[in-house]
Amino acid sequence: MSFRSNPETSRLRSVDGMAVPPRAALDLGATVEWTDEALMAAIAEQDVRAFAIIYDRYVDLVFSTALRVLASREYAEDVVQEVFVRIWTRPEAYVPERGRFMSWLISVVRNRSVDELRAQGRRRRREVLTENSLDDNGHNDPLDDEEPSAAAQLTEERHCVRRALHDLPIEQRRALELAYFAGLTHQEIARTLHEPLGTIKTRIRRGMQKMRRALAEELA
Amino acid sequence: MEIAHINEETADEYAVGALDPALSRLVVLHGADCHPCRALIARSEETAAALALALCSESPSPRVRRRVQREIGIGRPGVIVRVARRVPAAAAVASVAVAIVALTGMVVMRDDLAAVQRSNAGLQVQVDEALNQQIEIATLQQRLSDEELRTFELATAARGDRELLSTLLSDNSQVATAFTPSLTNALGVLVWDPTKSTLYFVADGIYPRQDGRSYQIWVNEAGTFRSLGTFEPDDTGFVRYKTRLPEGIDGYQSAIVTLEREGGADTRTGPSVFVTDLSRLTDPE
Repeated sequence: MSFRSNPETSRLRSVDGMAVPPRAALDLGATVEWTDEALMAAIAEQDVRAFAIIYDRYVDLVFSTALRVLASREYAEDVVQEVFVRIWTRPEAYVPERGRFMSWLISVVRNRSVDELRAQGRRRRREVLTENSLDDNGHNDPLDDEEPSAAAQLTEERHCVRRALHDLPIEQRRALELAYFAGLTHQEIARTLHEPLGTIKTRIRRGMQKMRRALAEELA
Repeated sequence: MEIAHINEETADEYAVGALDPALSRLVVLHGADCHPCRALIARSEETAAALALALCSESPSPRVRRRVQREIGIGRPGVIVRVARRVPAAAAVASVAVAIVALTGMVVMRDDLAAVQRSNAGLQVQVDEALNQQIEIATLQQRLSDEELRTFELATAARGDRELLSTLLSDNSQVATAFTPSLTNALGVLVWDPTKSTLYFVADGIYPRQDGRSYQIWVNEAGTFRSLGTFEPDDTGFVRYKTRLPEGIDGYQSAIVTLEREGGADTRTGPSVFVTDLSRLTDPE
């Protein structure tokens, strides 16, 4: 028994709550592109196949984020397990009205990873690891044969973000990285970079403003 | 401790995790009750989350999938078990059985570990709740402290008003109008009680100073100006300044209010704001 072969698709629901046809009448993977919100609604109904699709769609993103924060494949895999188990056991934690599923998921992974990082006190080690910093080249994007459209959309979004990040001054990118992936506060970043606190605040503010503007333009 | 509505800058700082933990919790608490601020936070979180999209994509090992499956109760038997079903040899079965025992032990240990992790997560939730309660208590204490300060200020003002009214009603007090050559809307009076050596200067319509200068009141005794101190009006332009008159002086010709350097000057040099003729009040003759 595996995720992909699990026949539990008859309870899969669309985002507006309507029941979908059973598997015999609907080839879920090939003909319908289920939104994240629809899949989460199905997961709330304990639909294993919906969970499998969500897992396949986002496991690499979740792992990459955790790995970037924790700098350890072992700990990152623990976070991946924890996050997906949480999605299965507490799907109601995601509220669609509060934003996109992907953003919520990344926030959950990031926060859990930073908590783990702080618990382990391995922040200093994190600081010296730069291999998996924000990537401009976009190598190694996954292509999921079962969800070509979703994978393509995710890949396109990644390209958009990389283009937006590419236009940021390196100082602003660095400040954002230290806050988001190393879990450092303003003051800690200022101490790390030997810069005034106001300078760090300005970099983060301007970096986020430029990101927001650039993403809006790119995704438009 | 209570924060007003969240602006975009604070939402951004919260979303990237740059705020101090205590301030982050205040943002969360506020966002829980304020729909517009929650929407602002969500937008910032979406922007911050995009940072993760720019990372080079990495894949976890396949065993993570199996671990997740097992954890949520939908996992299929492991490779060893499936192989065991297809191997007829008793020896192989026996060895597989040993392996299963070992695996079971590992699974039990992993289950124990998972139980500890869940327990830790539960404790973390309790810690978070306790911290939230501490924040709420601190907020209430701050409000109480603010209210006590406000009550004290109001009581002090009421006491000052009562003393001024008492002086005005006294048979010994005298009142003189203070004329202003520069502030056309300003009104001022001097209330003088020689038996108590007390002088009040009460005025309205005086602009609070923002140029580093202070209002200073002087009395003119035989051509010599003696300072009676400096004062600052409140935000509404009202002032009630009380001072004691120097002893051993029987009368003054006039009193003036001037603008001097911050904290007051030793000698009168600044422009006059109020002028009062006191000769009639202080000289019985």
